[in-house]
Amino acid sequence: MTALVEVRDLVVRYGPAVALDGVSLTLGPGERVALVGANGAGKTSLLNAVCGVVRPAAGTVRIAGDDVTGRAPTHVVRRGVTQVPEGRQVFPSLPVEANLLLGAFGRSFRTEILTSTLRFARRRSEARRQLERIYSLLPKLYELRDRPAGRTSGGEQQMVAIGRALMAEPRALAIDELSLGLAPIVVEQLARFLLRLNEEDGVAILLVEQNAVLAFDLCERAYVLETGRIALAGDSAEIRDRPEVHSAYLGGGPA
Amino acid sequence: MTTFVQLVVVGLSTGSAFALVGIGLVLVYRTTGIVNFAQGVFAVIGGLVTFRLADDLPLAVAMLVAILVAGVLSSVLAVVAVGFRGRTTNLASIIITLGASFLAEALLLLEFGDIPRTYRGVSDHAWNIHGVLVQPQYVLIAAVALAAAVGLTLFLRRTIVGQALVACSDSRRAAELVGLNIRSLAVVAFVGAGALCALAGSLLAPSSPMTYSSDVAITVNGFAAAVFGGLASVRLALLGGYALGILEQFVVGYINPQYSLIIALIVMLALIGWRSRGEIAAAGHQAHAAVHRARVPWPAPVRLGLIAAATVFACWLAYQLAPFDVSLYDRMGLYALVAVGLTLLMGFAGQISLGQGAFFLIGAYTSAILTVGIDPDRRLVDPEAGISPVLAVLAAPVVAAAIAAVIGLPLLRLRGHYLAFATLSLHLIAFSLLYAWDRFSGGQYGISVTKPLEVGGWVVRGANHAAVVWALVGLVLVLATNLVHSRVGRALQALATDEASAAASGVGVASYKLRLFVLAAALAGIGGGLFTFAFQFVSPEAFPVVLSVEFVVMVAVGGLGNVYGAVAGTIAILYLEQKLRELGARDALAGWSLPDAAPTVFSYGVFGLILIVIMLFFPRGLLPALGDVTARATARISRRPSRARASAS
Repeated sequence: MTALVEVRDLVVRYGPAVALDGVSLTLGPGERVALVGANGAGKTSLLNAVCGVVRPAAGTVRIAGDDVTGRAPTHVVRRGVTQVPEGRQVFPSLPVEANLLLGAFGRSFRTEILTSTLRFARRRSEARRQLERIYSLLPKLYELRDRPAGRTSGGEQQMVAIGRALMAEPRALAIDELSLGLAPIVVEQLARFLLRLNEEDGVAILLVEQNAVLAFDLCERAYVLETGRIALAGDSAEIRDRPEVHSAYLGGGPA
Repeated sequence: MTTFVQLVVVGLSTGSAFALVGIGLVLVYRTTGIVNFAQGVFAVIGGLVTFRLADDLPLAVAMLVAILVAGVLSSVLAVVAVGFRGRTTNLASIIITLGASFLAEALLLLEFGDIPRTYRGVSDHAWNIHGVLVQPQYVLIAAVALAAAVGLTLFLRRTIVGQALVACSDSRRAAELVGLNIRSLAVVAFVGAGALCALAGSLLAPSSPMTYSSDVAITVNGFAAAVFGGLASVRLALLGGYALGILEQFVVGYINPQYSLIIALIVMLALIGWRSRGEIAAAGHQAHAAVHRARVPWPAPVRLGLIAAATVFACWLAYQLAPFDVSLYDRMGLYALVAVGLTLLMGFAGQISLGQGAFFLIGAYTSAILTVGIDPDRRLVDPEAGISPVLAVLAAPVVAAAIAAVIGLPLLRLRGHYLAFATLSLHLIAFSLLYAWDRFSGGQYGISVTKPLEVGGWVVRGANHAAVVWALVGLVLVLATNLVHSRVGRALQALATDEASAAASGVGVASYKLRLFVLAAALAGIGGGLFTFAFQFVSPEAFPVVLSVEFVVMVAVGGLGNVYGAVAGTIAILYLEQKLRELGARDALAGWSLPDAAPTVFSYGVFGLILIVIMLFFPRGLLPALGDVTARATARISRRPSRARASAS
């Protein structure tokens, strides 16, 4: 069976600095995989290379067997992987509902604006249905639908960002720092929501997370990145119990 | 009272046209981050194409065709200006639009000549309402502008494409991540802006005739309107247009028509300065790294030795050239002084100045007026009041630097490219003041300076002058390279790479930018001050607005931030300009007969093309790119890694 996302020997450089140095990773359909590591280990670079935001210097990225290496994010979104960016990055001056609908528009987008708009218009009812589904999953967003996204709380913005990504009907969500700057209770709600989404709809999850406890709890498998290389990979339960992981990321002495 | 109402009526109408241009600028700026210097060109295209078709077609149809033409051309500009994915920096995009505006001027001049064109508007009959004359055309402009602003606002709020544009303006990164193609959206914004401007131009031409070069004033007015709302919103740009239009009419009606643009621009600049109080430049995340690359310096003694040797050679050369060539060679040195200052500003502060020609002008007139002596009562010549030419030359950079400090202090604290417009405005203001204050400047006749520049009995004229200028270029190169490689230089490198991190590590971003701007102005000032004594004569023709753009071209050719490149770029461009002038002066070229305007067409067109091509394909500069090619070729031949590569790894 082909992996949903398959990264092989990926190298990313920013000028002379090497961010990723030969990283390989797979994400199966419906799988939940975490990327754990310290600041600057290359987690976000990996996510961005998968999503087409940075162009890798070497290596390949495949989505469901198709080579998407170096393709623009818009192409990656159409292939079925959508990123929930770090720090939410909602469109603050647009209402919540417009934020969500743009997620669906992005999916219909090709280079040419007229046909993209027509395609989106044809799928309008589909987008509406999808919108209803998101509202039923995240009822809070329905209450907030007319409010500018910039005037909602951090947790609500994270919901908007996730909802917006889901509007593209992705096969996988690539989430950058789910918990960043959010209250623990909000993070827990979001984690529950993602779990349900994964189990009911089969949306795979690639989670970049500083909070290793959360990452290991939520995901079945994990990769530990250190200075641009994969230091460890395996089932979350196994990795969690490794003494070096325990001391480095879980803040405890040897288990 | 009647006058007052009349001025308001006229002001609202011209202001509406400015507002349309301003809205276009806001639309493009918000969506792409690009300040489109070619915005005014589309208004000129709108006016001139309508003029061409107005005889054969109904006016409305002619306007519609003109708007479509502008829209299509604007989409081409969008594709070029946004550039290749990830490779074209914001600064490069802005320079590309500047190049496009000059290329377009050349083509418009070729097609329509240099006569201002106009045509009949909707009706010649004016309504007389209690003594106030209201032209139907005025009403039409105001109504159309209002309708366009409302329509655009609804489009941005209600339609998915409009919302996608707003999304781009909120966060281009996030827009990209949800799958929106931001390059296509940039095209949409450019097309909309181009169409709005063409609409403005075709409505404006019946009351103010248009020619190929009208775009500069239109762009500047549009920017002034847009700045009123901080380049942020359509509604505020509309209000800004009204305010600007009425202000200009008040100056026309109550003060002096000559000052209308000057005063309006000064008020707008003051407004930007006032807005800047709260903002901190450190919020900028402009990275200029793609343009500038830190070089491994030669050891200081080697560097100094090489510059000294080159300078001695350059001075010696001044005495070997034929008299006619000396004046070109002299100008190369003078312009090189300006270009070195500008390359430091563009390479390290990431700011464009379109006013280096103005500082050159200010320097030249400062030294001329001080030497000749001012007597405000009996025109200007009062030798009794004149000071020594040497002191006058030394005063030139001081005056230029002081003016730069006053302008730069508020503007450089702002993010974005306000400085480019402020300096372009400065050039327009300085240039029109030469005519408005002809008691001091001699107006179009200029100033003849009789006293020679003399140092201890040695007359600095002809070859001597060129030698002095090139010696000064050598000195400036030593100072500039020392600056780049000093501790200050490291701060500058940091600034060039990433403003935000530079600020975080304690570099006073705004203060460094200001110092660079003042330094660049001083260098242009001293160049101008010496220019006066190259021919013992100054007049406005030596300082057209295109001169300021020419300096940008020189810097682009030499590589942004590359001081040696700036000198080489200056020599290359002036030589090219000379050749183009010779070419343009011919009657025919390769079987084509050349129009009278050929020299202008050639220089504008070629400068424009150079800017576009360099920023697209050689963002580090043409000469450094050629250097790379040579280095690679040498490396291949000798099968050894080149110095550049060895130092990079």
